Amino acid sequence: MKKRGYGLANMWYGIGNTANPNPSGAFVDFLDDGTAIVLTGCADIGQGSNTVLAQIAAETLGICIEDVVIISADTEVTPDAGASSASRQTYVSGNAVRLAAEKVRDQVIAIAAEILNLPTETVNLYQGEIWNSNESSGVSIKDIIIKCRSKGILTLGHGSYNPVTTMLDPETGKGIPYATYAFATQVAEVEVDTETGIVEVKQIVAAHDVGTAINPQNVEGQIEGGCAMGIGYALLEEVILKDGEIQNPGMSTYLIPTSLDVPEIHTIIIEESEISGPYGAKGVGEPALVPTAAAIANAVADALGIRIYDLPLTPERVVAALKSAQEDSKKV
Amino acid sequence: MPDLSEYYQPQSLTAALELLAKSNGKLIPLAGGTDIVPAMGKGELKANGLVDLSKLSEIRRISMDDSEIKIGSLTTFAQIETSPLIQAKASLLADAAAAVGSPQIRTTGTIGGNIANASPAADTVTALVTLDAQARLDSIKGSRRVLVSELLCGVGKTNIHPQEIITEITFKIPSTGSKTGFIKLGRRKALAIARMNLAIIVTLDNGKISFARVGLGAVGPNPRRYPVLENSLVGQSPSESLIDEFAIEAEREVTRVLGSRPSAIYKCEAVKGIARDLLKKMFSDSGQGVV
Repeated sequence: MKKRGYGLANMWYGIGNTANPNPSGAFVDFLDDGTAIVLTGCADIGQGSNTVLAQIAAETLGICIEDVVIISADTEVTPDAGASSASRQTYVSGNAVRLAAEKVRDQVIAIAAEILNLPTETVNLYQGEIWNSNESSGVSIKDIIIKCRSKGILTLGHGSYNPVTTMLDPETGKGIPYATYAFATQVAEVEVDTETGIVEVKQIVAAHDVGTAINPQNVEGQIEGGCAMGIGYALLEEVILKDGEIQNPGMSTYLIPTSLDVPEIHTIIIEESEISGPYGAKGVGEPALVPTAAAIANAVADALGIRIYDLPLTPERVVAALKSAQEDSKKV
Repeated sequence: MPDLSEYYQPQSLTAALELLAKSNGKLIPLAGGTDIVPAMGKGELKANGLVDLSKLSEIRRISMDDSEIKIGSLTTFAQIETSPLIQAKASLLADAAAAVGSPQIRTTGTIGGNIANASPAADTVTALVTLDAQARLDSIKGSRRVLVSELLCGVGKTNIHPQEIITEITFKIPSTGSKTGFIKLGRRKALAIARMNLAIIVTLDNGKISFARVGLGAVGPNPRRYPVLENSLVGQSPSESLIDEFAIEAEREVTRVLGSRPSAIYKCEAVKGIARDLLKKMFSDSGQGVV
């Protein structure tokens, strides 16, 4: 028999390494053709950090994202940006890039104000031009940088950021382990076949507070990827050990979901701006995975009326749990 | 990489058969390679050399002859899955081919290889034994035809002689108005080895089942027909209660075959689920699976 169920799970998750310094550094070079080079140690492992960091640099420098070149994760030339882990790169390296770009911007603004005879407080960089309050001066950023060069001034900046945390008290565990947190709620709908024990995830709704979404499509992709991984955690992934030896060490035996196993995922991005983040951003990498298995397990419990405490919820486990529940009810 | 001392790629079937005849069993025929190549890589299969059959386009085709379908042994799962002829006349085989591995495996793997590999879980083999399909085996001495079910004799074992190649698979088209279906139980929806698979053919006469074939895979050492389950359908009318009775009968059969094996507890229960899903689909009024 097929049974439907719904399950909900909430999570909060610290951004950055726990109660430890984890700084990121960045260099920005604003070139005399009006483009910029960003050097960052941040490794883009497919999550899209190169795009997000280019957006942050472009926004700060008042130029198009196409005019930003990111050189990343090359230990020969890029400054340390820590690991692409702990859901930290948008927040920590994003801040480092923002700070480095702000230093360059401030130099360009100072020179522009001097040349155009404007007060520095009202000068801004926007759309490749020098603006005064809400009006373009008509002078391009490129022209100002060329002027800088003629005066022998290079427009370089460096920045670094380390999230504000404290050590945790060894006795009480109290302290400030993270500078900021991500929050999320996910709901899963499942259909369970009580005979084959197969759990089919029909759909997932995933609402995530990511601070400002610097790249909403990217955030959506991160959430969908996390949910797919969470489906694997809930239903498939298990390291089988026998006498200390892993019995399923390959992708043909340690199964993860295929695209056919992933249902429609409805993402909801909650933008609660984080004051310490670059343009209000936090992180979303791991949070996307954290609540999924719990939501699915709750949905299975809702469908079957019994709760299974071991992951993954394999067909064998589901069938065995149903059988033992049946036997228990006979005893009563 | 597998350690190979000889590799041949004959351009004709005759040349391939001559190579095998001369090699005294040292050469192994290679079709799609989706089982052989990984097995050699892992050291599970040792071969002095391979006879690559991939250039033999003469045995890579599907045709119909009167009431019979002929499938060249080198025909890929993808060709079978998408063949309008197979879809119309034996959709259980198209469905079984579509259930194999992934698009990459289906584009490379062949139906002849699926038989020769003799896996207990081979998806198309369950459909073929249900169809009472025959395999044609060729060697330089001549050819013979054997029921696929009789060619298989255990896990990874067949009665194919070392100098023989499966060249063709044939089966009678189920009579007009029959319904056929196939279902696979895997750990996930693609790239999964069947935990079990089930193929069914039923012919209806005046609302009653006059003919039934039921094949199950990954229960015994090779997929095979289950006459007890076939008899439980014959003479009955499609109904909810028949589905229930069939599911219980299937549980009984699987219990009998598996005995006290560790997988029995799960499979005895699970067979009911796939039996229900498949019969429900076949007994529905949709035109799906109708010959």
